[in-house]
Amino acid sequence: MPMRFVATLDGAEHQLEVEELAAHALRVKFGERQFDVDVHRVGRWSYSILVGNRSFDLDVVREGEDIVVASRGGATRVTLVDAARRSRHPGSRPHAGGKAELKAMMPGRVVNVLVNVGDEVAAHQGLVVVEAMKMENELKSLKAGKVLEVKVKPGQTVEKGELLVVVE
Amino acid sequence: MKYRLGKSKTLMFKRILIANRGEIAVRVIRACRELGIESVAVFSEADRAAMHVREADYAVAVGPPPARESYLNIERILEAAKATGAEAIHPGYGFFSENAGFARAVAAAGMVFIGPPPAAIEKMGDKVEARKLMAAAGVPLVPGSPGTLETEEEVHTIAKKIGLPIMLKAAAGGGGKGMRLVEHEKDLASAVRTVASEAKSSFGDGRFYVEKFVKHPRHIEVQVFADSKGETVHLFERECSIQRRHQKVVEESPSPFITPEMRRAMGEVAVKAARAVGYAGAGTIEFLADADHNYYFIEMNTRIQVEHPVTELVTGVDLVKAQIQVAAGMPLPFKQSDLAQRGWAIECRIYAEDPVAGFVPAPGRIDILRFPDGPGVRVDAGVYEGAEVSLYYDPMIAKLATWGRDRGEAIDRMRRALSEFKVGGEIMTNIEFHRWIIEHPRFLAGDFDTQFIDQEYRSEALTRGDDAARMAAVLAAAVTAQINHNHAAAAQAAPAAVSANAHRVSAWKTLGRLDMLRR
Repeated sequence: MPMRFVATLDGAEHQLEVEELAAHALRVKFGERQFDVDVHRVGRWSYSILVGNRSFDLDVVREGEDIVVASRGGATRVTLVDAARRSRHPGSRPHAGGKAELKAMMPGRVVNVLVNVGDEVAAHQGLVVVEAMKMENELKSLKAGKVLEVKVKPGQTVEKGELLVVVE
Repeated sequence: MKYRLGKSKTLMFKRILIANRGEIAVRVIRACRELGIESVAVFSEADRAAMHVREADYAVAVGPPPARESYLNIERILEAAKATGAEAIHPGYGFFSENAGFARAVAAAGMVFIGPPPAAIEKMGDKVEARKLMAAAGVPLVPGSPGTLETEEEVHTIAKKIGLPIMLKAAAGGGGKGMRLVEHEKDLASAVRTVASEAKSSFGDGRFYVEKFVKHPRHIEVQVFADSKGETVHLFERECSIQRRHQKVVEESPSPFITPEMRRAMGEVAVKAARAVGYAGAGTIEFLADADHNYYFIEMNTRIQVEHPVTELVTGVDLVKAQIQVAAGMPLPFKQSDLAQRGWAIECRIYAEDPVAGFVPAPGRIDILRFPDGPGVRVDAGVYEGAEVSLYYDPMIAKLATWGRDRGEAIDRMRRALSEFKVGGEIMTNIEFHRWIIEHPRFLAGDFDTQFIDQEYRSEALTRGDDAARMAAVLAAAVTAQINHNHAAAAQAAPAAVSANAHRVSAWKTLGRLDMLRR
C-alpha cells in the first residue's frame, strides 16, 4: 500500500505517492508522472537518490514547519501537508487553496504597507517594506491573487516569522 | 617594541591581535600561523562561538553584540591587546581598518598598526582632499567640482558646466554609501538635500562634491603594495563591475576589458597615486573606466580588500603575509619585475540573503554546510556547520574563488564549485544567484558594466530544475519525515504529515538505516 504525501515547494503544491518495491527501490508518483527511484541514506540526514540514471545528492534539515533540502541546484524549502487530514478538514490546512502567507524573514520595523485588503496583486508585487539590518527590504508576493488579510501597520515592529499579509 | 630574532635573521612579531571577525579574521589567523606568529581574536557576546574564536590561539571578549560597543570600542580592543601581550594589531577590512585615530592610538600604546601610516589614511579618507592630491600627482579624475559644495546653486553651476547626469557624493563617504545619481534637472534639488543629510547622519560630515556620471562604467581597481622605505609596486588589476547597490558581488583578475597598454598605464598611475600620499602596506586604487577605455581615479582603499584572493591566485603572492612582514619593518618581499599575472581568477561573495525575495537579509543557523573542493578552488569562510549567522554584522559568510589557465576554465570551475557548495537551514544564500550571473551570456562574453544586475536580473530567472529534481527533493523531505516518525522517541516531534501513514510504521525499514554504516 503506497504512502501519500502532499507537499508544497516554491509555492506550488505537489502530490507524492510512494511505494516500496524492494530494498531501496521505490516507485514514486509525482503529480502525473511516475519515477522508479533508488534511495540510499548516506549520512544522518543525507541521501543519494538515483532517478533512472540521474544522481541527486541531497542534504535535509528540519526548519520549523518546513524541511530544507539542499542539492546541487541549491537549497529549497518543502512543506509537507497531511493528505488524510486535508481531506477531512479541508479548511484548516495551513497552505489551503493556494493561500500564500507572507511572513517576516527577520525581526524589523514595518516602514510601509503597499496594499489593502481586497487588492488584486501580481506575483512578485511588493506588499510590505520592512527595515532590518539597516536596509529597507520590499517583501514581495509569492503569487498572484487577492489580498485577504493585512496583519501589520507602518511603524510596527515585527518578530521573525510573524504573519504580515495573506494572499489568496 | 619586542621582536623575535628568528633563525632567518628577520625581525618578526611574536603575537598579533586581529581587530575583526568573520572570514577576514580567519584569513589573518592563517597568515599568522604560516609565519609562526600567535594570533589573538577578539569577539563580541554574539560571537563567542564564531569561527575566528575557534581558530585563534587566544581570544578575548570585548563587549556586547552591537559593533560600536565591541569591535569598534578602541579601549576594549587596546586592553585586549595589552592583556595578551600582542605586539601588533591587524584591522582586517571595515571596522577600524581606515580609521587614522585608531592607527594612532595603537602606536601610542606601543604597538604596530598593520596598515598604512595614519596620515595616508587621512589624505585618502577625505574624498575631496584626495581628488586635489591626485590631480596634482597627474592622476586622471572624473570631471567634477574642484572642492566641496554647499548650496543647490553651486551644484547647478557645475552641472551646467559638465552636463548631466552627475553623481553627488559625500566627502566622507565611500564603499558605495552617501551617493546619488542625478539624471534630470528636476531631481537635483531633492538629491542635494538627501545627500547632504545622509552625509551628516552617516558620516557626521555634511560636505559633498559632484562628479560627472560615467556612462556604462566598469569598476577596475589596481592593487598596490609599498614598504616603509617607499618601495612601491602594483599587482595588476581586479575588475569588480558586477555590483548590486554599489556593493561588489563578483570580482575577477585580470579584467576582460582592459588592453595590455591600459593595464601598464593604470599600474603606473596607481603606483604614482600611492607614492603621492606616502603609502605603506596593501592598498587599492579604484578607477572607473568608460566604454572608450578612458579611466578615472575614484578613490583609494587604504586596507586589504575583500576581493584580495583573486590577486593572490593570479600573482602567487600572499598579500596578508606581506602586510605583516612590511609592518614588521621588512622590505617588500617582491619586486615589480618579479610580478606577473598567471591564468585567471574569479571570486563570488556568498551572502546570507534571499535573491528570490528582493535580496532580503536571511541570516540564521547553518544546519547544512558543504564546501566545494578540488582543482583550482579556494574557500575563505568565517562559518561552520552549526554556526549561527547573526544579524548584527555583515551578511557575507564566505568567499568562493576559482583559478583557471584562462577565463573560460576559471568560469567552468566556478560553475562546478557553486554546484558543490551546499548551504541549508534557517539561513538562505545567494549561491543560485551567482550561478545565474556566471552562466549569463553577457558575463561569459565579458560584456558588462556596473549596471549589469539592475538591467538583467529578474528573480524569476532562478530556475529550480525539472520534475525529477523537484520529485527528488520532495521525496527526500518525505523520507526524512517518515524516519523521524518511525523513531519512537521522536514521535512527539513528528510532523502531522506522516500521521496518515502511521499504520505503516514498519515501512521503509531499509531507508531508516544509515547505509553508509553498513559497508
